[in-house]
Amino acid sequence: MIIIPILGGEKTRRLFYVILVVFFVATTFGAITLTMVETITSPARTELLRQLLDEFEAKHPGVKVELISPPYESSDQKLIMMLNTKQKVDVFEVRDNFLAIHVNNKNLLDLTEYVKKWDGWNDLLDLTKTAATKIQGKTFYIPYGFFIKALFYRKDILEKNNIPVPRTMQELYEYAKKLTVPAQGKYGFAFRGGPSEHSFSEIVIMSYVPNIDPRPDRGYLTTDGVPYHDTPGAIEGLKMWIKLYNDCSPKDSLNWGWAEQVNGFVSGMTPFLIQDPDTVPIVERRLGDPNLYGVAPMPVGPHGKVYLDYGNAGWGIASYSKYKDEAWELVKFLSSPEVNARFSQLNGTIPNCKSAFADPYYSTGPYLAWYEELTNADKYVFYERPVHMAGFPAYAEKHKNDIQNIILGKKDLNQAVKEWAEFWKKEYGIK
Amino acid sequence: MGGVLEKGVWYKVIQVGANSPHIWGENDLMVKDRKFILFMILPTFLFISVVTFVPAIRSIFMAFQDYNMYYLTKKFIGFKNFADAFCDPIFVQALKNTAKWVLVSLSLQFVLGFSLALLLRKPFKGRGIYTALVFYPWAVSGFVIGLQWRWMFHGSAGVINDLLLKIGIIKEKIAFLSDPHYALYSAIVANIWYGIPFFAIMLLAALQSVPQELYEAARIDGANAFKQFVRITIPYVKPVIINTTLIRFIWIVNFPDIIFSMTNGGPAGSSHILSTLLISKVYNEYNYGVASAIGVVIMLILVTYAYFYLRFSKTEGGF
Repeated sequence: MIIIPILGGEKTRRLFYVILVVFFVATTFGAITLTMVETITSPARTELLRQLLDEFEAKHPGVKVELISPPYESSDQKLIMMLNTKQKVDVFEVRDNFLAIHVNNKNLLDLTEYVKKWDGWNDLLDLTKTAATKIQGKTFYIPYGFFIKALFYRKDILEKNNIPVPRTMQELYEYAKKLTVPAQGKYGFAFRGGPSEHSFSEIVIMSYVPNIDPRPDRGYLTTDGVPYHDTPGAIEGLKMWIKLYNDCSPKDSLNWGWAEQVNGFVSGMTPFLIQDPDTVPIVERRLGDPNLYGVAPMPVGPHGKVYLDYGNAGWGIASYSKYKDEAWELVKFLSSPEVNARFSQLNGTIPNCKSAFADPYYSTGPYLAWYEELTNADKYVFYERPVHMAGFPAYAEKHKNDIQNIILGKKDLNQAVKEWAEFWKKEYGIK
Repeated sequence: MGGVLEKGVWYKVIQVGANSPHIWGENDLMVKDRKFILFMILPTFLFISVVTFVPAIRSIFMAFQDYNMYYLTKKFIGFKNFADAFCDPIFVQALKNTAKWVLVSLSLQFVLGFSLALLLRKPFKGRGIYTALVFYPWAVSGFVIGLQWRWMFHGSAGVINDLLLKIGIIKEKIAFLSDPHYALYSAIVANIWYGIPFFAIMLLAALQSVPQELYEAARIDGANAFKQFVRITIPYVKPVIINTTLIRFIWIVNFPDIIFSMTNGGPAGSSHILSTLLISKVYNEYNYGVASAIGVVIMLILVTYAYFYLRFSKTEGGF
């Protein structure tokens, strides 16, 4: 390119300079298009995101944002493929269970330097900061919100049967058992035996363990440095979980997923339900009356506490993005308190910053339960599942199959817990 | 136009020289024309290669690679993925389930589809509407069918439990999709319902091409309905039967939609077939390597099946 004009005459050289200037002007002052990929897609959420992006575009002339929203069922695979084949992606939705994949494959930009110059950082909840920096202490994404479990209950059914809201796992079992009359198709508990059952069973099982290590890189270990799974407390907890199935839940809940759980709750068949905050809008809409249900903080185990995983997702930047600074502007915009609060309300997630909790939407009503969980560190201990470790997906699948087999009488409970403990000893390299 | 009939084929005759009538046959295609035809086929060939052969070959490579999305090393690891798959008890279960899934589904789909075609062959009032209704399941996506049947088989609120209770066949509700004894068979019921129209459509078309005179002649000769069926109907529609069962077998093996949406392979992997297990390896465990190994196993089963089936059906005088 440079040789040609030198060799050419004056005319060619002049033409070259003109082209160069035009090119320079076009790239400097022309519109930049950021490509953003969301993965937890739903039509309503895509619509809101588009609105927010339009506002961003209005504030940043010269920057356009193209939003890609693959269908939810295959969105994560699609995103991973896009990133691995280095297709144009600037900003993308990072789900906690895929964070490790993105970092391992070197597709996520380290935001540590950007964050240092950002005022918004100090307003973030401590939990947000912990999540954001959990890999190598570097900030790879800014979480926009959390999925934390709480106990949903049917107010009308509890009142009719004169049953209070349970505060311990033992009470939950007893009350659920009282409500169970299989001949009338009435049960106490919406058991989860199908996909992702581990994020439900673990809450009950771990609440019987006195010493879970809450540090993010120690997921599933006790403070003694061993997997919790075959400790005496965990075995007791697992027995309780199975009792909840045998004595308080419909038989087919062995393979229930989210839809069946929510259906059981809304129809009144199973008045106790453990679920995430994003279930609130759906339950409310389907019940048609907000007075029919309530949400309570998770019941605690015999040691007076319960361990809660803080599932989350956020926004990150592709390591190979050409427009890193503009992408950071967008991430900052989406993470600002006002935008985050609007997004969280529709998304059903717990917001990522302190100032959002001033909003009455979060300081009253069903969300109060989560506020209590977030502000009582002695009772509600937040830990993180080792989702960043390579064996996790295989473990989750094994856990589901094993629990189903234990209930079906095809697997010995003690054998199963031993295998789970061995699995994690191997993953952590503990001898 | 002049022509000549030779061995049942009508050839066009063109005058080449004054006295030598030339019979225009295949061999006269000029080299230039052949090239042109090849050129015209090329886009289709390339398209099929890109969307079918390339991914298939790539997946065979992946079956020998460490292809886990968590740590994408892509190292070649020999037969480790196959060993991992074979050592998994769920794989063995899935292999047996695949056999049950195909044989039970295919045979009942065929028998019921054929019966339906025989019934629909005779004209009756409202046949058009009835035929359209019968063909309806075939027009719906397998995934949607699975979702519909999942709610029908629901252990607490499903209509099937309700009906069985009311008729008095069962005394308490059955958790169809959560009981390993019923889960796979529930999916098979849905699959049979879904596949009947295919056989009904294909066989009805074949039945309508059987000349009526043959039946009349047979009746005059004193053949009863059964004999007519065995001696006339079956031989006439045999090529269609062979073709449809071959195609259907392959489709059913490669048809995870219904099981995926009804039971997702559960409980405890008891209703997995190979193709749903493959999906589970990709979507739940992110292990593309083992998934590809399972894909290769499926491919080998189907190629072997197709080879023997075609050989067998040829010696029997099919096609």
